[in-house]
Amino acid sequence: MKKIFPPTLHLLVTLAWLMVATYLIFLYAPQEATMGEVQRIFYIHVSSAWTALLAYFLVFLGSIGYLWKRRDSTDDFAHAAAEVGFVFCTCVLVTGPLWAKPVWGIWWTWDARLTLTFVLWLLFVAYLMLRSYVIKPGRAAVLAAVVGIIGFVDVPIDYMAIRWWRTQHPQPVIAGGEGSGLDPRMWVALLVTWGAFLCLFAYLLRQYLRLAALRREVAQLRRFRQTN
Amino acid sequence: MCNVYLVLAYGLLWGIFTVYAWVIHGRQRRLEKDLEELKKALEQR
Repeated sequence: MKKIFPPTLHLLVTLAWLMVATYLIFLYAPQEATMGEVQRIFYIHVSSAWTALLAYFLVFLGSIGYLWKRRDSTDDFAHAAAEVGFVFCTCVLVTGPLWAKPVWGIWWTWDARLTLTFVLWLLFVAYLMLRSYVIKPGRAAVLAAVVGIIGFVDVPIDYMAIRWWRTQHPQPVIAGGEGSGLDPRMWVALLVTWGAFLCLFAYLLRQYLRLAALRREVAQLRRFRQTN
Repeated sequence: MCNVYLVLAYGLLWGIFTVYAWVIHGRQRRLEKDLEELKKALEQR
């Protein structure tokens, strides 16, 4: 992977993709009729949310993998997905209220979608806190994996919340059935933005995995120095 | 006319990612330094 697609090239591709997405959001996508300019938050808000949900799914897969095979690499993968996912989930919780205030007149309300997204953010926090506070490495990995698996229950419910319940959060405009939908140019802007976010997610994930590998190497050398 | 909420949303998003990338880079550099020092210490033995 490192030889085929080196990190520097990955970073350059990500930055170029983000620039294209910014162009599409501000200059290509049409202005929404009722909300006006502020609706352009939609592209980063939805892309961050989808990426955060995907990140937790990867935490779930990594956690299952670790409990099954007990390989450090799967634990590192789950840990990396949790940390980067936490950053994306924070972006969802920051951009959401900034869109809600001018449109709804309030920053926040405890409806099903918003509450479940906040719970997802708390799950990321719980996972990362467990990693920091449990000193014994093997034990921390097992406990975090359990949180990673049990917490995944939140992800499908969060995704379906606006379909199952009437919420303050808008009903789905994507795959939401009759009456829902997006202007084709908005679709293009959204998909390109999500693609750019996925590329950024993958880049940060790689950086975190490099960090985890370094951490293990340092710990191994320290143990070696102590025992010899 | 620029929308203040839109500017804030994009500005904060940019800020969050920049800070995170900077933090992760700093942690990597610190670990690389530790690793180098450990290797040197072991070589000197």
